[in-house]
Amino acid sequence: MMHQDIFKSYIKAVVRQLEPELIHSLEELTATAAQPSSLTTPLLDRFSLVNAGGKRVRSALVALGWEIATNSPAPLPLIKAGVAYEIVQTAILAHDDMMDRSELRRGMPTLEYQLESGHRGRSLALVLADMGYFWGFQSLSELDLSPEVIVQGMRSFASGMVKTGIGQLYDVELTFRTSFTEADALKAIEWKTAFYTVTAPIRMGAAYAGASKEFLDALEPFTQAAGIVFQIVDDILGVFGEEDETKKSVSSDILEGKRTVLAAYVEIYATGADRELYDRYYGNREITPEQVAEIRELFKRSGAYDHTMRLAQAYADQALGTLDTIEGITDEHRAILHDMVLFFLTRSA
Amino acid sequence: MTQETPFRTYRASRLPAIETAISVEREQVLAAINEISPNVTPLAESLVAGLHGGGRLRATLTLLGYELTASKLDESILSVAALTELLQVGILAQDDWIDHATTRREKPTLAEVVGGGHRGFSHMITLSDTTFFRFFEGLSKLPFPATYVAPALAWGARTLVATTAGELLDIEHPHADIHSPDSALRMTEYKSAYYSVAGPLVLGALLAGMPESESTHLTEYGLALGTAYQLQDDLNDIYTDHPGAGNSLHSDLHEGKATLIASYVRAYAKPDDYTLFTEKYGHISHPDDVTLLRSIMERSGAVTHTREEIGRQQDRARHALTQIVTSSDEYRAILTDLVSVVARS
Repeated sequence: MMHQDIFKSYIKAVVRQLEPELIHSLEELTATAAQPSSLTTPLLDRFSLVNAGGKRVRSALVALGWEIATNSPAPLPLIKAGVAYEIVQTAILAHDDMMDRSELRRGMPTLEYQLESGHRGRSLALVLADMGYFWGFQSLSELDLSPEVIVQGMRSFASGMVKTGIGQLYDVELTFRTSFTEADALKAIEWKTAFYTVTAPIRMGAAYAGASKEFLDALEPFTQAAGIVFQIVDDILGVFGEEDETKKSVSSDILEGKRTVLAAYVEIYATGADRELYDRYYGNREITPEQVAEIRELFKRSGAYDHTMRLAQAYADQALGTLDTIEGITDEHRAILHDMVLFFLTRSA
Repeated sequence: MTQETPFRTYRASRLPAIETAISVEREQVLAAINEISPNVTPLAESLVAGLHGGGRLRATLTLLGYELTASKLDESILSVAALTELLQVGILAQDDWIDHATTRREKPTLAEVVGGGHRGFSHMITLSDTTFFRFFEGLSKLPFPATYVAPALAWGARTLVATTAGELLDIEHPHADIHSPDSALRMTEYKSAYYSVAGPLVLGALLAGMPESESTHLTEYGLALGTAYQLQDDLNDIYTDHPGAGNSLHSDLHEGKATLIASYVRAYAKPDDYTLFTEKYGHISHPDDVTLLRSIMERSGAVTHTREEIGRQQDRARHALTQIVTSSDEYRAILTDLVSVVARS
């Protein structure tokens, strides 16, 4: 089944409204941070820079959540809520990249590597990302909406962030375990990325529209399955993608020993020399590019790649199956969500 | 013997309720984190262990802000007091890592407890981020009118944006060419006064329904008071020869902190003293260096200028206090007392 770029067109339309608002918000943040001293300005310039180049999936889903619940176009405050989500996303990525020791993101050095090397650069990146979080929360608290709606939206957003934080905690803990299973890797995906990337933004947009809990809960089996597709494919692209397209490192997952479905398959099924190779190189930051390529090859010949692709397809089928059962959404929105799943499954960036 | 003052009496009377609320928050955080897997239980426990001890300043000020507006305590505001303490655990965990500290109150810091090195750093970031998110989640779920909660959410976020701006300056200042007393004073206000005093005080008041237009006076009071306390704390770091709770002995001198005192030395010290100061500040290798730095601070006038600044901040707080509407004179007396006791803190 081919996707028809309906979802991409939807993102594009949101992005046209979003980008000027994002630039404006980052300018405001820079000016606010400069109130005590303009020494902060070059730092905020770096933070603003790393906000560029994202796919803007989450902000589009905030708008889509509203549209699904109201069957009307997302108003400006919802676009601004999407801006806040994007800024928080940049902050999350900055912290993630520090944990993963990633040097490349969105085709440029990660926030930490935009600053000077060493402890001071790390400290500045740590605090800049915190500031990004708090600016996101501030922006959401100051939307041009009634206090009741602001609080409703914040409740949805903050709860999602707590769940994401706990998912991240689990994910990091998993990295330091000596062994893990596919179920462990999937649990991290469910709590962290699937929820944060798909479920939370759609819920948040719908929450601003005053959607009922029943309606939000009815969406969740679909949004969670779609989110799992997104992350499984992300993990595949993290190893087999083209850096020119993904704009991020395609070796850092291997160097860091990321606990993915791909790796879980090898952990369970690889034996003999293959298992030895995996144990020696996966998660070893000292390996050469050739050794990274050997791990890639291992993922292919062991069947891990094919298995992971089949799993992504199975979750996509599950998502599309549940999509048909959701009541109260228009055919137009159903088509966008349908195409979103196919986009997640077939994307190369 | 500790002298009883209106603020100390107030804090003592509220502490049992605060501790109970913190216990409830501790259990909620543990339950939420443990839901994902028992493997993360030790990490969750390490986080909430940070809730043990401490002066509960922020929690007390949250209650004070609430009561001076609403006149009586509501159970729900106690949960906010507990949230401010949880947030503090997250903020301190990051501060300690930035400062290269491995102990706090003679116990290992969070990053050390959860593994040290890169592993500890990674867990520490995630745990502290979770406290930040939990703070806003907790506020957004309060049973107060949305007309009170929405401004409180905005204030909480603004306070933390200001705090991080101050934190950035704190990291940048020692390395920057420009380090004027004005700039050091603003950094103190942004890094400490917002977060430690104005933030919780105004948060409580807004949640009790204080109109935002009136809260500006309380903010001004809190910023002045918080700045005065931090400057006094900076002086204490130089003159105290035994470590107090939560502070290492002469930590500012060891770390070369960009304090107002240090900025006065840079502005007013004679060339020889300036050179000596630059050489030793942040690079202490012998107890005599502490004595030397202290002497330079005194003879350059930095200590006197700092004391004068504390006085100016106290005057600023007292002036703001005349504009603040309180529910009873009891709370005005507490606010007045807080200004008076700065120099004894």
